[in-house]
Amino acid sequence: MITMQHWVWELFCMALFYCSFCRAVHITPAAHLDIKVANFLMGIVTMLGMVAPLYGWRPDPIVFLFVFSMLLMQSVTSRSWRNGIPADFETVPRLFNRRQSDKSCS
Amino acid sequence: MAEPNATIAGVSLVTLAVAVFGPQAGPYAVIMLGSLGGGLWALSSATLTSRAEGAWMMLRCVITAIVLTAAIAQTVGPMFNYPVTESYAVVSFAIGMLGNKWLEIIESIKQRIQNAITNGGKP
Repeated sequence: MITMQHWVWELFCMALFYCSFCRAVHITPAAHLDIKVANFLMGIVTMLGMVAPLYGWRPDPIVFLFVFSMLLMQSVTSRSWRNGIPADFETVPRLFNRRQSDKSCS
Repeated sequence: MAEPNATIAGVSLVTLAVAVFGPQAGPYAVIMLGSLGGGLWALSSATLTSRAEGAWMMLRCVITAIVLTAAIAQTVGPMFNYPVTESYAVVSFAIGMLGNKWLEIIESIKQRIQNAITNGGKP
């Protein structure tokens, strides 16, 4: 039986997957490997989380809190990604502006 | 009465997908999941400028996987003595991971064929 708990869980997983997707768009080939792997794993795990209830698994309140806190962390740190991947996360600095909005108005 | 935590442990993802989505859509649900997972890595390896571009690339990965997974799985599965339907997830994941690199693969295959034709028959 599908309960409200399942819907909330799926929503959390989809939101985390979306966070992973948005960061993956900004990650460039010059990004550190650990950043790529960490973001990739987060996306994979959220997809596994979406599928897990089909196997009869049910998240408990502690797991809900864990995932919610992860989601909160992704949301608040998203401001660092507003203009693309943070410079510290790349092995070489970007030498060109990727988007029109990056260019100055002068 | 407490319900068991895992009622269908040990069932493969394809079998479960067929049970949930039906025999026609089940394998495609697995292929889509696998290609989405692999496509995330391809996204990280590409230089993109917007989420729309990223979404378009993911869609291409998924469509490529839907088209090619069955054929590749039928070739690869027997090679490793692995059931064809069970290898859908792995094959679609690998196809998704390739992302934009399909052109390089096609060029590489073309070059090998050209080399084989050029060198064919010569000692």
